[in-house]
Amino acid sequence: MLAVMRVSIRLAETLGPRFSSAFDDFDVRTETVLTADLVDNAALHGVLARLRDLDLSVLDLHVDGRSA
Amino acid sequence: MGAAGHTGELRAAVFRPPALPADCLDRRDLDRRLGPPRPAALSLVTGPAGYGKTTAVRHWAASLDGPWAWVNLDPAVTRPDLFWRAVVRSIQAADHDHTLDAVDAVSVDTIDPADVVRTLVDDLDSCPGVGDVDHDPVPVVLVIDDCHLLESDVWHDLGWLITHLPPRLHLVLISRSDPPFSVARLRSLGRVSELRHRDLGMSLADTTELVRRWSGRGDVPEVAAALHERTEGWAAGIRLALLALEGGAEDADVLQPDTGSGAVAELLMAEALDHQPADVREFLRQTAVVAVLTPSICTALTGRTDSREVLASLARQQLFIAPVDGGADQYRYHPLFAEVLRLELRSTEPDAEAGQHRRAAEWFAAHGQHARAIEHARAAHDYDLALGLIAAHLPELGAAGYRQAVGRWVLDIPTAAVNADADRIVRQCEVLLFLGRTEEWLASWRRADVLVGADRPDLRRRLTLFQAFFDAGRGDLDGFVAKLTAARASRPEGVDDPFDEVADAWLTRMLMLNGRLDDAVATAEAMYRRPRVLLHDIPARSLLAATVARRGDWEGPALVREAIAMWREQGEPDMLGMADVLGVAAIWALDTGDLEEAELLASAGVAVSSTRPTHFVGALAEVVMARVERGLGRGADASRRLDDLYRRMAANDAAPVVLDVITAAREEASPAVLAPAAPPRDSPPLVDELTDREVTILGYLAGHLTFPEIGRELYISRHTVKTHVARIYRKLDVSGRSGAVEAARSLGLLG
Repeated sequence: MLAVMRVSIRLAETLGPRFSSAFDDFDVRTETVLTADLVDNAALHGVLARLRDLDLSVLDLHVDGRSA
Repeated sequence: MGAAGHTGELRAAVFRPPALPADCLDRRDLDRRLGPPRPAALSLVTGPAGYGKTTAVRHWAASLDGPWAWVNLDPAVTRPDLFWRAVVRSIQAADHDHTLDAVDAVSVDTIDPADVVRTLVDDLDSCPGVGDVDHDPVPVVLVIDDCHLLESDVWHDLGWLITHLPPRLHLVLISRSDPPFSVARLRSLGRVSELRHRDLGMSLADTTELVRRWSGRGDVPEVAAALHERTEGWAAGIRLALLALEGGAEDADVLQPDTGSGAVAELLMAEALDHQPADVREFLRQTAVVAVLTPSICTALTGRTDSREVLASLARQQLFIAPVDGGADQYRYHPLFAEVLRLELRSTEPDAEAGQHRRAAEWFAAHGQHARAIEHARAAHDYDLALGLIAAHLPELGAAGYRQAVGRWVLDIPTAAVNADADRIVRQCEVLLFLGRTEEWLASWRRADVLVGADRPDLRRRLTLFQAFFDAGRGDLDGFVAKLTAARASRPEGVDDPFDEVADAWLTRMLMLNGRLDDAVATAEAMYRRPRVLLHDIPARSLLAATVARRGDWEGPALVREAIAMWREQGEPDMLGMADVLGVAAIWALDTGDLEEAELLASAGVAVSSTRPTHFVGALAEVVMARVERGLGRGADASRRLDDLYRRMAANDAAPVVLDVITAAREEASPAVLAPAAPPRDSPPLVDELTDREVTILGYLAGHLTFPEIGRELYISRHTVKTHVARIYRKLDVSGRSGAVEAARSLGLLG
């Protein structure tokens, strides 16, 4: 699947191994920054729902290279 | 009781797939991407609103040979219990050929959604037709549309289902967003197929074809090229643009507008709406508040008597609405259009939206669709209407699976709005008490006690009664009688409070619990004879039967049998009032050695009281169950059950008399409170042969009708059919439908 955007999410909380496993499709750069290449908006909204369900606080959301 | 009928009507649209538009594009490339149904597969169809996700999956489904089930999510079914019921029922409804014997028997009355999911997985795991090696079972396709509406709780169970996908299931999720968990692992196993934004977009060729079909213009290629560029293949946008052009909008405004970075959807929708005749625009705005459109409700919302014709004409022109498959005169807005139309209504007439919701609430209430009526009353912020509907239809709503929903509806009302009105807070208190939400009830009662003044003696009296009912739940006879006496002393002349019926029913049970059988019979007779509003005939009759039987009156057994038969024929599955009589009958069956019957009756007793886990009536049902388990040689189960029960009841401050009963049962004594005083005379014979009814149902089992269809043929509930079928299986010593038919044939029972 061709990715169209690189998404970096900085969280207020540090992720332990349990929560990190919920983001196994992400590159957990440091314990508070998640990075992934996503294909479209639906994928991004799915990630936001995941963050919501785990009650994680987003400090910064950066989207790079969105084609549209 | 019309509960089943009402909710049946309400639910029907949930299972009906959308109709496939007659002139829908034949996008076989998308069908191919989804591929044939595969075992344990997941398909994700994601993209923004209006990209044709539903149509694409519907087109694919139409090409399938095997069974496919469809669940449309709307706000009425996003809660876990309702959602899983809808899933199971849709699979049952889709299974015309009975390849899914097991799913037919999944109990959707189970309270815990996780149980339903696990049962579903077990059932779809098994492959019927063993030895039939030539035919691998075709997986059932289950489509769930609009998954982005689901609540986190549902996703949790759905996630479990996805990680445990059974071989006989191909799950298709249609959503505007990806599931809120990673499917990376499943993807890496090659079990996921996807249709995404980029796949769903219309190609230039598709766009050209649409322009050709939907407009009578000569410059098709030019218009198509411009639209394709502007909408980037967004199907709904293409449709909106063509509507605007047909309505007389300027080409330049639609095809090459100088609008900077405005949202395409907003601009196109405005163009399309602005170019509709004023009466059509008005009709669309006024009806956008409801999920399913029928001529009758549209007339209520718009005052137009020609709604049937208007709807048919809108659907013919594909103007924002589409017919629902198999639902005569039923239509649905495209969700995006419904949202934009509601925004339009809100921005042009800010006060009109609440009014439309109120009209919708009144229409649904008048047509017996209580849950939808309540949703609209809430949307209209008409709390009195919402609370009034909830209080008036609590038993039906509970039986139809809305127990959790009702709790949330009542607790979601802003506290300030509840506290502002004495009637409201007492209503809230009443509903919470009946739902058995102890903590919230206590909080609500305390607020009510402060806020309801002496100027409302009727409400003060009711609060005292509620407090008495709370004591009753704990089994505290003294507290109950004291509060009941106080409430009765303050009864205004000539006023008949329906809660007095309920009070009599509880008093009967409390007297029975304390061994005062003569008083219990006298109270039960008074309760049964009084004109009743809140207590239905079946539980009232059952309670009287249980009391009379406990005292050992000669007519006891006949009354008990009659009450249980009535409940099986027409009662609701979770009628708490049945617990007493089922307990008595279970003990009798145990004493006469009919262990199977005893187990069936005792589990029914536990089931009807399972929604009230801390109530002494439920506790007694569990004690009966434990006794039956011992009789069946499952002593360990019985002990565990009683230990759990004791802890739960003690933690909830149950009265000593209740705890004594549990303790006696733990010590393997037979608690006197449960046993009928005299052995039953005229008890039913131990039947190993099938009853006439069972033979009738066996005949149907050999045919092709589903359990619900058999129920409809015989005018009994699906629940009753299942009870009969369970007995037939047991008596014939088989474990499934085909086995039963085979056994019946070899016994010559099927002629």
